[in-house]
Amino acid sequence: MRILGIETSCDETAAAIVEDGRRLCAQALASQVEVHARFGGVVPEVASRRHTEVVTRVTEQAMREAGLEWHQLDAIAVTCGPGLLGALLVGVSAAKGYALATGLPLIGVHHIAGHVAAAFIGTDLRPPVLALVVSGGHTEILRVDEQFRFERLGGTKDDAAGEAYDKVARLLGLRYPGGPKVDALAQRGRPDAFAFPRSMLDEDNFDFSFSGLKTAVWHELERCRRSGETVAVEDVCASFQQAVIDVLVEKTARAVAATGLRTVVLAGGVAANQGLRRALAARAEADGFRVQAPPLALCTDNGAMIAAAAYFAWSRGQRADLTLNAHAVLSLEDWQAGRV
Amino acid sequence: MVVLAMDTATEVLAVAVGRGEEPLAGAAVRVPRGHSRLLQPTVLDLLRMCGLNPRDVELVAVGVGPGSYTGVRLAVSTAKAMATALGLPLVPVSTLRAVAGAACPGRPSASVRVLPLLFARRGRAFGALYEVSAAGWVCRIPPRVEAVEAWREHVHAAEGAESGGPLLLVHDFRPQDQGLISGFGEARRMTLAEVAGGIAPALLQVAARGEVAPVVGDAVHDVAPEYTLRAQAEVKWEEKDGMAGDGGRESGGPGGKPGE
Repeated sequence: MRILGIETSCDETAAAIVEDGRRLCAQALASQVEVHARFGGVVPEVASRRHTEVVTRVTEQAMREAGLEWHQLDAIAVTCGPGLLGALLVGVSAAKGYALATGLPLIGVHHIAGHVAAAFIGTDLRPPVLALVVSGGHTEILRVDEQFRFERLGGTKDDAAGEAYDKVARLLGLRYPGGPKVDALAQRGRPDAFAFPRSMLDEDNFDFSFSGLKTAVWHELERCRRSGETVAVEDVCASFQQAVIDVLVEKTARAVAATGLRTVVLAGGVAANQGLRRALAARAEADGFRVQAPPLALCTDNGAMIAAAAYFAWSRGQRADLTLNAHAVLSLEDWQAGRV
Repeated sequence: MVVLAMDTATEVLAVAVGRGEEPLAGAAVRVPRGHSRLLQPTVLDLLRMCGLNPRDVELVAVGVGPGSYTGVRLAVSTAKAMATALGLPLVPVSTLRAVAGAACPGRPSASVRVLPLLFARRGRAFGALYEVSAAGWVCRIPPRVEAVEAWREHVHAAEGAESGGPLLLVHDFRPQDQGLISGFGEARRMTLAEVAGGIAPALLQVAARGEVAPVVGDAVHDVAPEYTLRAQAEVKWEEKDGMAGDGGRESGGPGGKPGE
């Protein structure tokens, strides 16, 4: 079954065709990172305008590279939430236009389900799995059952991990998007140089909090500034990253123990973080579970993950009709129940 | 020739299916925040009503604003997807021209000036000035956003020089904002709600008569809304960094009007 997936929930306009949720036929992407860099973050109106300008061209590029005509597809999938409402609406409107024109069935996809599905592309991995989704907007631990249905075990109470990365990057004067730069600098710093807090580790749940960590970094930088100390940026990055990773890895390992699931999918933009990948792999080896992360190119937002998730959702009977809407806030429960 | 027309830039979701400029079926939906949910089902329902399916469409006309930023993107994205998937030409028409056409659907023997004004907050309106007569439509002031006061001056200045006939003002100002649009002389007034059913038929007319040239082939991908205002973040950034072009002093966007 060949599905076209369209994703416009934030600052990437992306489309891809995936067969049976596993085989990537082709993908295309127009990134807006440079467009938003000068603003220091994603500007929703600017993002929506850009999506409108490029969405059909990106889709056509994916179709052409796959060498496919519309009648050779089986369904059209699109991210229907969560995300920036105006941005989501562009993808949803285009996808509904394609479905209307071609008569192909339509599937609305939850963005987080997409990130998790990215880890299945090109593998023989099968649910159930445990998923740790870490991105600019999300930090969640999810149980994924045999039918690719999600149950949220825990998540962030305030900032997402990726958001904390970007905020710390800004404190350090690193240009947006700063997350990957923090990761790169952290490779050259001492992770024990600063004792930043590991929030909520003593709590018996799978929740996170990262806003205190960001504040702790700010206080440390202020202290250095007042006392005239030179700030070793690499050390700040390494210590900050270690604090984030310690919490993510520990809570994930606890969720593995609690659920008895033996496979962890690491997904989302921050899954590209080298420090996190290494630390989770090491813990997996020690505790005897398996970690599966998507290739780097499929960690950030893309159309393939939407097409892959749509296949699994379709397999358990999920469909949308032309009334499909976009939702800035959308729970996995509402999505699975078809309340879109 | 089967023509499909749609516009989502105002509080009215307007769709029509026509044979040439003759409407076969049309809908004007004013369900608040309903545009994104209802546009495509409405298109399909109307086509079916006519005994047609989407593959029978030969030309697509779409209102490209100005109006609601988020709203206008719904029809533009849908129309581009439909036109590119079906290999059809796409006619991008100003929403203001469609609203003006809705207010004055026939061809009057004596010339009439039509001024559509769409509320753009902070005392401003998206507007354009048209003159219509038996000879057809002429655009005197192309679509732009200006203070309502400036629109009043444009109209009076035109009257001083050469009158293009009586003025017909069609607007979407809410009752509490209508004080803003007083003082347009003897203008006859209509609200957008009153002319809602004529918006999509006006698009059919513009497209079928070739008043706006159709965009064909690869260029369909480049069709984009006519916002007439740049995103506020861009304006602020250019003011701050002193890299402003001519639009650098323009004030910001309306930040999303009703209608999604």
